[in-house]
Amino acid sequence: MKNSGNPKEKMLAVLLILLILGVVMGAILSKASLSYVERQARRQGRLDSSIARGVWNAFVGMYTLGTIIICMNLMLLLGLLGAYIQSYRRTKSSFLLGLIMFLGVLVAQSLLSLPILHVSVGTVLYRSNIFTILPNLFETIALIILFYLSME
Amino acid sequence: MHAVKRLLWWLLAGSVGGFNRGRILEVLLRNPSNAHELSQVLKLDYKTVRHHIEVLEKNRLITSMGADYGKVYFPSDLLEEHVDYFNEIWGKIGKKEIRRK
Repeated sequence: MKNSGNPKEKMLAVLLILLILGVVMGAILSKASLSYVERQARRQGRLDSSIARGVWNAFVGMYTLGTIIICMNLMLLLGLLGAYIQSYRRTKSSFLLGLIMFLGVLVAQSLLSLPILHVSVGTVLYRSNIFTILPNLFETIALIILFYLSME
Repeated sequence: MHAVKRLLWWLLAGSVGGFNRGRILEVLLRNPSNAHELSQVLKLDYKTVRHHIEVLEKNRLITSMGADYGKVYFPSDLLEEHVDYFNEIWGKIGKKEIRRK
């Protein structure tokens, strides 16, 4: 007998692994890029006042959270893409090709939302409030639903 | 696209267990069976068969009669009504899968 094990448990395990990978990747990416941004800001004397330091702390929190959430989305999207590409290679169905393109566009959208990209074109462009990351959080929920349906 | 056709595309091609669900529907359309028989005929794990049956029943493509382990599964009226869609989609994706194996 092949394919042993409960498919639902397997799906939940894969989902959890992808989310953890996203968190780890996001934490590493934000930590690495923040130390560079901080060095730049200090050199330019932009963190000298206490107000600037307060803004910086708020910025660090949202930047890290934003990067982690977007990395989680990217991992979910890559997991889904992997599954659909595998199915497409087997079936050559145009329906799956459409789904692959749909996910490809979402991957581009997620990459473009990464805070590191916003910061690299000017720190002030990445706003430090909850509304900056809320849409990405809703995207995570949507992707978890799609992942559940796709792996069912 | 017709709603049932869209549902079949999703359940057979758009999600990971689609190929095995197609094989289950193919058997049930020929011969109503219980989960144990399906796992024997298709050489699939019993838990996997139960999972796919649950998904197919939840989506109203099959229906059942009896209780517990002896529960026999049939194609639903919805599937019987739109069996042409199943044959069309399964003809496209199922044959390619079988050829590959």
